[in-house]
Amino acid sequence: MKPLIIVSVLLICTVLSTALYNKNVVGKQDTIDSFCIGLKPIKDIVSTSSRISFAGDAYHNEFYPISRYYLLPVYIRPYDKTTHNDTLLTVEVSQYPDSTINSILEKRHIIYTNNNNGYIYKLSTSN
Amino acid sequence: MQKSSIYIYFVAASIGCMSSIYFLLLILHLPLIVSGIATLSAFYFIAKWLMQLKTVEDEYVSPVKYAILIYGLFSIAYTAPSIALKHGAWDAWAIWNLHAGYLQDSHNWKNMFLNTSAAHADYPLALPASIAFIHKLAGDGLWINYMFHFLIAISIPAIIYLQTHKRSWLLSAIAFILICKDDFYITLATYQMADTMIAFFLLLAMIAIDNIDNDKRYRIVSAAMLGCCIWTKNEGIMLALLFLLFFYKELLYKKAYRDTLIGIALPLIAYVIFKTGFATQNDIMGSQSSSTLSLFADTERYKLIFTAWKDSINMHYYTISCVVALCILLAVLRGKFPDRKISFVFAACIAYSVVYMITPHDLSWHLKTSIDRLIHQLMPASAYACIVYLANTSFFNFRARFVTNPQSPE
Repeated sequence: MKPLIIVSVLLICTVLSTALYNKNVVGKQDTIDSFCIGLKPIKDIVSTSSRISFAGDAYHNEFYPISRYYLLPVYIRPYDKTTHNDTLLTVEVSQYPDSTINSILEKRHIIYTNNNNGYIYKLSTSN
Repeated sequence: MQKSSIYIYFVAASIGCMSSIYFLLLILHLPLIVSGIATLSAFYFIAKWLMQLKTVEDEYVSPVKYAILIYGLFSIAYTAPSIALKHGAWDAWAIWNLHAGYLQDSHNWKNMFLNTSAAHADYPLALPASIAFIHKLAGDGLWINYMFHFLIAISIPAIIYLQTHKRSWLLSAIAFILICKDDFYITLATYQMADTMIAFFLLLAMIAIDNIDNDKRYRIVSAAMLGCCIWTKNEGIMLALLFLLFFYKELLYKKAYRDTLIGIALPLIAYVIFKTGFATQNDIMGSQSSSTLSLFADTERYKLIFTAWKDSINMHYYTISCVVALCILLAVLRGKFPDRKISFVFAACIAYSVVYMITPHDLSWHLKTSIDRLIHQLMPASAYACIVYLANTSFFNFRARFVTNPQSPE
């Protein structure tokens, strides 16, 4: 088969599919389990924090880091993925001062409650 | 080897080279411009060298063959975005893309190895280093990750079709369309994890092995692809060792080992440095002790593993498993040992099962979270091996029946 045709088809398909992904997927709102809330860029985290913590494992309790590319050193308490539409998470936040967390969460329209010990937040998205 | 396939080999070799060079220069604290120049020089050398390999280019190819190829690839292109997750699956964003994020930071990237709990800082870096390098050149953007994985995803059926259509066009076309229309294949391919990548390298190593008779330099190519397997995932080392065992004559016998060493050198050096100098201990290997042997006496574990294989195959890989079974049956009926490539796939399945036997994790959880992906790693190589085997049997070799002196397939 002609290399020119094969390479062209491969490239066109790749570009076309990426364009469709960009148009249809990238713009989508993150669900609560993806929870990409833009807390702090990873490049800042790696320079300021020694550790990004995960708790438990992903199967039994469905623990998640707080977001994909923007992570805080947090422990996320278990929540049931099947009921994640309830949008309720309990998050234990460490290292960062309350004011930082509060302002970030408010900016991202995330409703939260503090149990007064300074560490436990119940989060739910406002949409 | 088809001339067109060389371009796909170029993509694979570039990924292996780019990630190895980026990682090695990251250790040396050299600036991005040095990595860029070194990588581009390597691309030029690889392209020039690959173009010198002995290949064939068809004088005439039926438009129908092109039409099938275009239909299949466009079908994946259209389907993949509708299936793809925005950030990939859990492993993608919590491990692979997270590691890529660290590797983009030339000063603090070693903080990645402080994440010892559930972050798998022992995973090899072919995928994260490639993504990190491209992000540093092209900027941030989710589309980069998707494009990278998509290119690998369509290269797999494309090269299977390219390399088998002359052996048996019917089998080749059926296999190609089945892969292109397989939503589960596309789903795993768009997960943005390293399983499709290792499947890609393993397939290319197998195809290169079949071409050593035409040009000895394909031995270097095959070894390089095995090196990339090792540099991609932890199970890559097991697959590579098995591959060397099954293709000992082609890759290690007499002076062949020299070419093998040349091919495997760069990714293997990167892997050894990574594992000895930086990576955290592997969770499975690190937890072995004298009590491990007792796990083999637990019959429940055998049952669980067998059931998981059965369920996964029945649910997602039924067709390919039937074809593999047919190949084995034909070999038995002809009084021969099954084809080496098919035997290799079978041996890899047994090796995976042994790893499951000794896993320190909850076995049900481990099987549930990984067995589909392990079969996905072997599926393209299995499909290629089966087509080649069946095409060589008298029942399927239509061409040989009607042509008095058929030229041997390239």
